[in-house]
Amino acid sequence: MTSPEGSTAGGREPADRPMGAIYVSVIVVEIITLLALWWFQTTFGRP
Amino acid sequence: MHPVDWLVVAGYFAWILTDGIRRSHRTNEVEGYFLANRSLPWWAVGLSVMATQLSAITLVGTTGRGFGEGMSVLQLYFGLPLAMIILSVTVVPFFYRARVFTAYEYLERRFDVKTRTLTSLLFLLSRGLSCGAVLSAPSVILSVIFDWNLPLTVLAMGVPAVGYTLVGGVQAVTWADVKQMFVIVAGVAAAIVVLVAGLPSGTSLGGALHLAGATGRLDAIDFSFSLEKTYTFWSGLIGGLFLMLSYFGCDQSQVQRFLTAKSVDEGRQSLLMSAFAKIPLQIVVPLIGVLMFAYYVFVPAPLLFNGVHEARVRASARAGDYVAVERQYQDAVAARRSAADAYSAARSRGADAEASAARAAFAQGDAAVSRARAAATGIVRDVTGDRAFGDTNYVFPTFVTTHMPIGLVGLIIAAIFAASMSTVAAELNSLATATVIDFYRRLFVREASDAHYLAAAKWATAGWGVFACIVALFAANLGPLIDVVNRFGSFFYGSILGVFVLALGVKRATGRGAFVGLIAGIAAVAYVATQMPWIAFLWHNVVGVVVVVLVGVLVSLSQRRDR
Repeated sequence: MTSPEGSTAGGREPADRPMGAIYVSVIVVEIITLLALWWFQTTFGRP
Repeated sequence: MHPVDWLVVAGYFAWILTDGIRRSHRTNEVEGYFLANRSLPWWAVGLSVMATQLSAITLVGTTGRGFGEGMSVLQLYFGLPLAMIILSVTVVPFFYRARVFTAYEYLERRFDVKTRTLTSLLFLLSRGLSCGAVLSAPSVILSVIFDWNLPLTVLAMGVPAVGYTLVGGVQAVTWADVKQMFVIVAGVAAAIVVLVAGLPSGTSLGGALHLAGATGRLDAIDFSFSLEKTYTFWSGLIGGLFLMLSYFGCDQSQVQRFLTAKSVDEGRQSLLMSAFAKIPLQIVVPLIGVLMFAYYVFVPAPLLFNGVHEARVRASARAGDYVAVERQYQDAVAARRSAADAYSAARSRGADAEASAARAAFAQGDAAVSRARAAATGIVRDVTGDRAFGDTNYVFPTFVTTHMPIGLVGLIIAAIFAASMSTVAAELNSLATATVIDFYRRLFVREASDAHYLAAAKWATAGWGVFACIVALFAANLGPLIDVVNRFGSFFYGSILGVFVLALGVKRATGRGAFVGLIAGIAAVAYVATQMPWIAFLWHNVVGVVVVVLVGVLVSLSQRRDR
């Protein structure tokens, strides 16, 4: 990725907090939500 | 409306106006007015992001869609969590550390002034018009339901939003958004509680959901791959991903939200709040429509929820046709009700074969009801000339005013106002920012004091506010215009995203490549939208990005070879 002019990366800005675990949890929550929707759809969608 | 409901609505206005402005600090500096001196906490920015996206069109239109078609619209948001992760990794740290006021400002540093100016101009055009549409749609509906004066309804939403945005800048917008989000969630929760509690005795929530399920209204996921269907799992995941990347990452009305955060991490967290909460919130909104469907199986409902149009049709030459459709509708409603009772009884007895037969009869009855509603809507379109008329937009407000208790009516009306005003205020603020930073300061007055640019920003906010109100009034009289505005905006989303992909991801991309790519992308999307109307709009975003990147790379490479 090209770097922005005027960037302060590596300067005054504090180091980024690792966000990997949050990203993984976003994906896990989405998968769980989709599974719940599928359950909802199939449970109430049949007699 | 009952005086208590008026009191609730008045309380909402007083709270938003006083508290939003009271919390604004250092708005006498350009950075304070546009970016809150990058001082806002992630949770406030996150709620502002959600409030900006959730307009009254979403609240009223999506509940109506849930009533008519069900939960399938939810698939639009399936790409949103992934988009938020990608933006948190790429765009948020990039823009934040570039210390820009607008997303387009960065394009000049990376490419040239013409690419910046064109993308910012496209933003101003599409967002300025959409701001009018956001004001117009709920105003038209509320004026019909309550017999309010339309221009006054537009002004009741527009003037306070312009007022607190003009005085307090982005801080007033953000703190008002926080409160508006609470009002919206409270209104949505109240509607769900009233609907569940209002189901007739003998019909459980499970029974109501089985009825909705029998008609396919609970089908929230459709795995079929089709370019023609608007909402499928794949169009939501792929087309929706590109749409959300463009909206949250390249549209100033959203970029300006995370630029106000205290740090890069807080900016990221503000977007990730939506990644967690948006889909659950969007499940609840069409679910209100589904529950209204179940409710109206047992409670008499009008053929047309828009009483003004119904009266106009009855007074027209098509009155006879309408009466015939009404007779078919009443027969279909009665048959559907009998089948619903039979289905519930068979299910409670555990008689599977009987339940299957009753379920099929119920679905058949509901299809007949839908056909009658479609025929009535067709008559309205013929009589009024409004080809975009959709009666389902009037279902939720009608339910609220006829079946909700005193006090909660005021809360829901306040929620509709809040949804509209939160979107309009954020859009006005971002329109003023782009006008001053990308045009006035860049092209006309390059060296002036903060006070000068602040005055320009306030004039720009007021000017865009007047423009939005005028568009809203015209759009109200020319129904299909809203449709045109929405389509107009969708021409640009994918293409603008393509320019930012070139800027951030392709080192060899040149200014000319990006500019030519942008023009080619818009032309390609316009061609697809007009010549291949069977392709659903979510795929337009994919077309725009792909064409801009391909053309941009080819032009950039050929330019370098020439050198």
